[in-house]
Amino acid sequence: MKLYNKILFLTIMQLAAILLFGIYQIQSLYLTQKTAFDQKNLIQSEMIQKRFEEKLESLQRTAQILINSQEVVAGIISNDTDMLYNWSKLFLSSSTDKIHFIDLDGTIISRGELEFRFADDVSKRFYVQQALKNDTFLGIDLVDDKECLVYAKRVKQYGQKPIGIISVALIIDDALLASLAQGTTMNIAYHSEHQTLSTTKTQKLINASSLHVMLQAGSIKEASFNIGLTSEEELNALKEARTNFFVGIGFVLIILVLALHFTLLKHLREYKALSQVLIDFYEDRLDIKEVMSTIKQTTKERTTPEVKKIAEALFNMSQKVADTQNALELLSSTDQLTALSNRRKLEECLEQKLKESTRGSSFSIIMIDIDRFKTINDTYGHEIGDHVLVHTARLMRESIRTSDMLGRWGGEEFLLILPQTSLEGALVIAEQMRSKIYQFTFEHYPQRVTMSFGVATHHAGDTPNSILRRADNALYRAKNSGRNRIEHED
Amino acid sequence: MVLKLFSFCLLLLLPLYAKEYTFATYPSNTPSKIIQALTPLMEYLSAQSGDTFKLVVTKDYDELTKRIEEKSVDFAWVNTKNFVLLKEKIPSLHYLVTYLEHSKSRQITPYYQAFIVTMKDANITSLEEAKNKHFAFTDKESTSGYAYPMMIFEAHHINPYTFFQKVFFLKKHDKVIEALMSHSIEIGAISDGTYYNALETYGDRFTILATSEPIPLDAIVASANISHQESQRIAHILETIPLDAPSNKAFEEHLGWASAGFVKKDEHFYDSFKRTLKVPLYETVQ
Repeated sequence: MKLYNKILFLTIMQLAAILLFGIYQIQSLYLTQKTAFDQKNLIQSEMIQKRFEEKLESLQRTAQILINSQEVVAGIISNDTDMLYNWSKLFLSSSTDKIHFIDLDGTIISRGELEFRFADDVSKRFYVQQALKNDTFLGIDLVDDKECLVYAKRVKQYGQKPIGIISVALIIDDALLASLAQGTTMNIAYHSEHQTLSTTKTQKLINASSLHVMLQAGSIKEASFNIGLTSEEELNALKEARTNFFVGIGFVLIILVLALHFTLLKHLREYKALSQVLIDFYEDRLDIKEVMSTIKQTTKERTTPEVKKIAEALFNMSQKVADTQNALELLSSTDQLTALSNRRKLEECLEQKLKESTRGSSFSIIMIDIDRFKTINDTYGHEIGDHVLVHTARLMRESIRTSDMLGRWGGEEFLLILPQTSLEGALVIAEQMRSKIYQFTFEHYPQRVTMSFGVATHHAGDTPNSILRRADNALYRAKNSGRNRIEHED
Repeated sequence: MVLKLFSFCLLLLLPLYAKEYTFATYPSNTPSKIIQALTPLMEYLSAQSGDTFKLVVTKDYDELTKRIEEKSVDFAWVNTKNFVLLKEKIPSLHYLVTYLEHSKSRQITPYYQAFIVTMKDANITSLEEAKNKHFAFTDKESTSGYAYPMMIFEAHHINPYTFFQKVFFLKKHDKVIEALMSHSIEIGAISDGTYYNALETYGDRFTILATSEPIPLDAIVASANISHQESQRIAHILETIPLDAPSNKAFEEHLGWASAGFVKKDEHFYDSFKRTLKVPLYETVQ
């Protein structure tokens, strides 16, 4: 597996593990919060239930207090509207909207909430009939055309003789629902065949449940109280937070993976570039100088210190390789004795010049040979012979241009390659060399040394052998013509 | 000369014969208002009689009755019922005068009346037509709101508790009017003053079905320890109070009474009230 893949895989695994742990934590937190949310709703539902029961108890308590009053009993007996009104108005409150005193005929003697409205017949009302029949009624019924929670109880003189009814009622309206739901996040709705009320504008309640109240069946059909939530804002906020976290974590994960991907690519690209340079060098697509140049470029680029150090090390190593290569190259192309180019180098150079000549670059060559060198060796020994060779080579080297290539062709024979030089120019140079050698006095060789020159210039279609042969022929003629002279091709 | 000298001596001796009288009344309003309302009358009596009248406001009717019986007060302002009861109890009690009032009918009378009224839109023109309707008294203790209306029903041979469908008690006369206006009841018993006030407030929307006998207003009496002559002297002083006297203004100012002084009536003037005490007491619950 590639390093890139390994690093990416391991990192993704770690991030995935962190993500999974985060998801687990958030999910746990969400479940805890949801449990708390449900618990809170349950408590609030019970609170509303309790308040509702308190309202009913308040109705019953108020009725019972009034029933226990002897003055009220006397007032009912004597139809004392004013006294009953004065009593009942003291008990009107937010939990008691209506207090009615009704005689056994079903005629209202007094209303606590309306001083001058009385004497109307309510005998047909369900709650009146129920109270007359069953002693009490606790339920929902129409009282003065309003749906109310009603508690009606028969009033008895001395606890025995029925004399009338007292009804205590609480109007079912928005205010009642609001008071029940006050301070909670719950909403309450009342529904009957006549009306639908709700503490919220949106009628639909979520997780709605009915209030559990012991109410007698009244004349109002399908009357029920429901409590629930209009929206699960808190839970939705929690869900949204959870989703946001998941999305955020996922997004961060993707960003981290992408960042890692690009960081790895960036770093590995530099390493890869360095290694590619080495591979190219190994596979001869680059020479050592190009390798050095490429690495040098890498060290100049904005890169990491590690890559820069490796690049510098590679550069220094390449430098050494190049130096060694140069030394070897020099060694392989140089004649040990005269320090001139050897025959292999000369052949390469000649090949090169012939290639260049195809693009119109002309040149000439001079084949040079020391006259009677065998005699020098035989007479004075090889050491003197070498001495003559060394100094002759030095003198010739001093006579040529930097662009010229002078080498030892073999034994006492030399080859001079003269780029961009015509035959005439080559003859001039040859004469200068011949003269200089002739006039030179050797330290350890007492006699004059002469040299013969065979000059040839490049012709179209020349091969190394053809031009060398012409120069060699010219040299042969110079030798045969008395030596110490210059001959050129015909 | 001799006559002048006698008169001068008599004048000098007069303070020696000046008496101090106690004038008691019942707490029909807050004592401070009653004191403020009656003080000018006391000053008037003192100035006119040459005696000193000291005002006493008793705790209640019972105390007033008791003090009259004990003769610890000399003169007293009593209401009609108390006068009738006191006279029966103490025959020697001296009747002096009856209170006079500017009635709502723009007359000065020593009495007022009870009316049985209905709304014109109820289309009831007589008591007989009111059978099985809803009726309201004010209070069983009320003279014009119960006692005299009961006399009216007796005269018509009507037992209101059976004649009407329902009979209610609304305590105050104004409330009977409001109940009529609310159509909770069709008929009610009220005083003539309440009726005339309703006319002013609501216009001519009521029909008077029956009118009671005159109901005497409050009386001023003298206890048995006051001589007949002395009581007549004081009665005369009270009768001659001018309409614009400070005492009348004080009644108007502090009690809201349209006082017009006092008038001496025959004791039989109160006989009609005696009959109210003998009206049959019906049970409200049949």
